[in-house]
Amino acid sequence: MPRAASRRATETTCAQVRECPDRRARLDRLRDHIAALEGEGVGQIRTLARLNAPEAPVSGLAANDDPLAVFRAQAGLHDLRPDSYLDAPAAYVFAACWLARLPGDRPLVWVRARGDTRLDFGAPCPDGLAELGLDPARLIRVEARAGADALWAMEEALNAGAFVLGEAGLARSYDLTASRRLHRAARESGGQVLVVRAHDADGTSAALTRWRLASMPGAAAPWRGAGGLPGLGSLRLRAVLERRRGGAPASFEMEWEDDAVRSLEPAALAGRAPQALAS
Amino acid sequence: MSLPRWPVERLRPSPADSVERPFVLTQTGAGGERLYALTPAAEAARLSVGMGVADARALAPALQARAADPEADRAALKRFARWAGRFSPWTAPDPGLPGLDGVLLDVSGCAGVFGGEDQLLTRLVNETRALGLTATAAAAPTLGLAWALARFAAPDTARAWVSVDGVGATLPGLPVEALRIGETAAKLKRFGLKRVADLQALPRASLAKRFGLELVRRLDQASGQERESLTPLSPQADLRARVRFAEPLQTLDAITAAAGDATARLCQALEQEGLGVTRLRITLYRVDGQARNVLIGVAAPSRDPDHLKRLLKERLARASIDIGFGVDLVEAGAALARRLDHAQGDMASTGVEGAEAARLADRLNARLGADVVQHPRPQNSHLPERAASWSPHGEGVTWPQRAERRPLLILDRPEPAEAVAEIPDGPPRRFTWRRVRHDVKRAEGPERLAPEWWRAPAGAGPGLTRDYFRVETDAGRRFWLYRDGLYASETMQPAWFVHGAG
Repeated sequence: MPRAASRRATETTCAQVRECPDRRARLDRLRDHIAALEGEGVGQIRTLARLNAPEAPVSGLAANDDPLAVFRAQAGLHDLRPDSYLDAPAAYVFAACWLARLPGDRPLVWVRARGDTRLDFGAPCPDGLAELGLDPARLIRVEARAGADALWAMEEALNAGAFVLGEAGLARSYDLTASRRLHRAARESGGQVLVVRAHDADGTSAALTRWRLASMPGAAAPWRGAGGLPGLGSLRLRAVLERRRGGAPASFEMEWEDDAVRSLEPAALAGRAPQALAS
Repeated sequence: MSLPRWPVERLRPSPADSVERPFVLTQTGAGGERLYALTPAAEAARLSVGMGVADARALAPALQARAADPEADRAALKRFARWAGRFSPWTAPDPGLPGLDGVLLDVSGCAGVFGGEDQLLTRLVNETRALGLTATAAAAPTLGLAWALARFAAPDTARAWVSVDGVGATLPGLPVEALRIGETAAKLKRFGLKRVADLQALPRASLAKRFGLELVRRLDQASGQERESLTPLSPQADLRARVRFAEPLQTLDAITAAAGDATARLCQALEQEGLGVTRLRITLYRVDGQARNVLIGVAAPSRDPDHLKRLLKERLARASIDIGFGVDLVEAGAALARRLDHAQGDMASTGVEGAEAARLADRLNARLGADVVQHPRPQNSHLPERAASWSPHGEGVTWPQRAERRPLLILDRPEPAEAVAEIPDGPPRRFTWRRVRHDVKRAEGPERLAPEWWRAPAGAGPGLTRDYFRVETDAGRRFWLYRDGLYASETMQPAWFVHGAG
């Protein structure tokens, strides 16, 4: 981030911090900002940027801010659902980005439901997590049987104060009661639980928000690429907020800024020591 | 303690039943099936060990016979010795020739708990007899003497007790069989040496010369001149706490509560010693002479009764426990313990520290089974499937920064795909995976990974080089594919595999 821009961002943040009602919210705000400042650059935490304005503007959101911050700020249960079978990886990417932006370094418990073919796109790859900005050392993988065991493991993990990413596929045991339990456990520990469901799962849930995720063709990066095909640009997702407690549905198109070339702005060159330039 | 009728009585636990019909166990010996072990009723019918089955049937027409199974007898005796752990932490089965089976208990320091050796022996014999076993017991300063007394002196009194001063007076009066010398006893008797006193009168050198060193050694062991100790079933004299009930517990809930009480007491003892358990053992002693061990692993040393009780509850609910006729003694033992100093957590911290994560792992493991909780560990390998390993312990991991780009999800084993690609090393243009066809719009690669030839089995060749491509389909879905083998140099028809997504 160029220096002038970062100073501007700091000023707006300071103004926001002063407006925050209690100490805790203020601290969180500052932490977020520092993380954003430190996270600039290649191979570190990058921001989920909004491509298009949401159909219904979310209140309390600065123009350049992460559109999901307001949802992430609420402790509780969030449901994720891929748009189709093949979009399940997109749902996981969305969940990982979501968790990566949560403040603090609580353990991240990934509860896998064995025998759930709808969501079987493989185990979390620690290096892949690191790429999305999550420290793999925080990851705890739990291999439970699909259904009640997996839900129980999620609840235990929440009670222990962890962030949880759970797979609940088509599990019929994930109903209103089970989701209420998870939500309550998450609220009490101030944690978050993201439950990934199968694309064709139905049933009610006590989640704060319910998202439907789909992949979108990303921009091309022609300077990379292989065999005449352009390279992969930033990852794009369409996140449809289908349901939201006490709010209207919305739809976002998001891009995960991970392009090393675009992040390397001239400012980084200008900041380099003269010797380095000479050599 | 001697159990002279162990093989028959372990099969016939109810004494009332065996009184009516003679019951014997048989074993194939010289000239056909021969009697191996008898009930009192069979002995009353003038049957004896070693008699042929046909002869025995002539004497006692109502005879019930069954083939003996010495292996099973021994295994059952081991279980019984574990049950006898309620009297002493150091117990061992002592299988012998027919009629000489028994259980050894080292009761040093245990008598005080029961109110003296007399009380202990009375209780031991009574509780064993309540199981329908013929039992006699003796306590003595040496193992050999206790063994001898239980078998050769106690039958009159059912129990015998000899103090340290009494060894010299008791031993000479015993028959020579009491020295645990097997066949040698018959030999000695042919020479007219019937009592231990007769042996003690002879010079040791000539005894050793004629009858072997074993005899002298056994003599020394009985008299306490040579040290002998038993090899106990549970070798460590660990900390343990127990809860005893007058009425046997019949329900799992009651047993869980009792085990919780025992654990709470154990935790007090651990607190005093400054220890924490890493493996908790719950032993359930059943009224019918069985004992069941349940082990509970703990990730970090703990002496927190609430935490251990929760683990216990999960573990007992999962273990299929046969309560039988009830459980009358529950014991909690620290099977493995480590030093645990007092630590005070930061009460204000909301994050999960190592201790909390370890507790979570314990709870999950106790209910869902071992190895359910896994932490990633970086490995020194460039192959994606080996770059990280999963282990149950997650302390002290620092993840290295790696330059290679990896997908978020990685398949445990790569799945074959049909791909159309340019030869020799172009990216895939189209591929079909899990019966869905994808058109590739963006691709990056190849990232060429050489096989780890040093891991390949001898003679199997180095393996195939992989060319990894990151691709994005027309719908924006991202996959991670590889071509297995270099075209022309390694294979003419390279196969394609999907290894990751996202």
